[in-house]
Amino acid sequence: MHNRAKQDPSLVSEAELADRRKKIARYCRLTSKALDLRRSHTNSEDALKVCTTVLEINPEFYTMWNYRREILLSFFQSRPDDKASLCSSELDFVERSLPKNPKSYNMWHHRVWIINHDTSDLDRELDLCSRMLNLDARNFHCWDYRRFIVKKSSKSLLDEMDFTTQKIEQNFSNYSAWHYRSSLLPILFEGESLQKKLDSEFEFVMQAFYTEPSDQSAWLYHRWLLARGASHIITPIVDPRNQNSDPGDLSASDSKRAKKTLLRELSVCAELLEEEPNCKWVILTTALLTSAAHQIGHISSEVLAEKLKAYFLQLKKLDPLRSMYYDDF
Amino acid sequence: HIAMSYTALSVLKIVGDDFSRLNRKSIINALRSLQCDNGSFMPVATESENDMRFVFCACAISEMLHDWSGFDPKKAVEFIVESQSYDGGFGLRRGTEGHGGSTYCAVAALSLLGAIDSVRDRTGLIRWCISRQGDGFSGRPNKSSDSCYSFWIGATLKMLDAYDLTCPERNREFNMSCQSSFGGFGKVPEARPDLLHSYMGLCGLSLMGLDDLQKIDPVFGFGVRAAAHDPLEHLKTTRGSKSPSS
Repeated sequence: MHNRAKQDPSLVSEAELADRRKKIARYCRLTSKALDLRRSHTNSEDALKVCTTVLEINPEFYTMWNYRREILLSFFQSRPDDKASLCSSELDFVERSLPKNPKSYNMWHHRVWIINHDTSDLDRELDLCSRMLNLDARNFHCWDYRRFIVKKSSKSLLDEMDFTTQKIEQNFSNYSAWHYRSSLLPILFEGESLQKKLDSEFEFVMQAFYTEPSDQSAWLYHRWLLARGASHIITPIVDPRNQNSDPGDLSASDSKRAKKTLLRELSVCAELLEEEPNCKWVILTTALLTSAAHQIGHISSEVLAEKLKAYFLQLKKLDPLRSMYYDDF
Repeated sequence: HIAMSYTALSVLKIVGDDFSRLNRKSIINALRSLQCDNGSFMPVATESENDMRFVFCACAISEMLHDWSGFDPKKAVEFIVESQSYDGGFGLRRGTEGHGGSTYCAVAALSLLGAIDSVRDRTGLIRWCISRQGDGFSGRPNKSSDSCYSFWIGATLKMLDAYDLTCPERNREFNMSCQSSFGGFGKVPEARPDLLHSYMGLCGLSLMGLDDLQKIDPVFGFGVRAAAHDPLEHLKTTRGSKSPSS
């Protein structure tokens, strides 16, 4: 949440100013002390305490995190039996500090560093991710951290796929969940199994855009599925410079399947268009699929031209911010 | 810290310093220990995070000093190209969500590397950027407009020669509504003003070309006058061992 400036920030009482000056003086004393300790290569409990106090006031002072790690490394060496409990208290410290700035690069990175030293409780980390994502489903630091933990724990990626399904079903506009799904799909499935999976993905995404046709997340995922399922047809439409339209490596059955998919999706969108004639995303996708239908000889150039003209005129009206972009088409 | 080195050099350029007091060799040598195996960059030479922000810093530093010998540009290009997300935007690294900040860093770095044509999906990238416009610009799909993205996204579109596809008037309206009555810009209307949004909000306005503001160099994010101030111009080569494309 951003700070709301309800009054002139420079109109502050003398008492408040005095209090601020006191806090600033204290902070300066502490940071000076910490930097002196570091310069003298002091890696003691006291040094860690000073470091902690500075970071509690200002978790964005990256040098303090670097110093903290130096102290910890020396503790790991001198007190190897304490390593696990030290790491656990570090995780506690970060967890206490995170609410100050849940999007702090420094704090999330420090957690990564700790986990690289001690992977004994990865379930705790996954639990933290779930809690943080419940607070902010789009916190990409948390999503990236989750991916890091998953890799460390060799958790099943199929389970992760299910996690994205759960998140999407909770909220169809969880763009970050759709994104994660897009990166899992090609890792988990390829070749024939991918083609089979695509059919169920199209089903899944259709539920999303039928429920919330004005939300872009499902539509962008849908566009990506189309490109995966029929790139030799879709790509030249979207990017005329990329004349990668030679389906040379494509088998006859794959080519047939791609055409079937495109025509099926065109029919799905055309049906939705009747219910939602003023939804930009339905029109845009229908325009793309109509062009694809022309590419595969399903509709004539004349019909294509007529339909596209109507679609883009409508798009310019519905989405005037991108009027120049639609003109470009 | 690589971002501090980049910022320091930028400030020196802006104030018209002659760079004579810089230990240029050590700055460039430092980059060598900051590049990762996958082409990405860390900000500090101890074990640390690494991502697109620091790739941009490394490229900007090399350009400002006209010395590209400090890292492997091919690997850097590879890292950047691999970071394009399924929807056309660039994330901080491969597999991450496309985001306005990392997209700017990626495209600016590629511009500096002379490798903007390496982008796999240029039309997707432009489409992604154009889609960011709501009242102002947002940093990601389904996020609200924020004044700083008028620069991150605006500058990216300038570098791709596609800025004319935006609606500058509406963007200007939004940025102006973020202007605090006490001075400065906040991230959204009525937000407390801060330096970052004041700087980026102004740069964004400059890109729009509708107010009497100095022109901004989209690659560097500061004025063209400062960008043109080049105390090491005699070191500049278009071909040869000091340029990234050789």
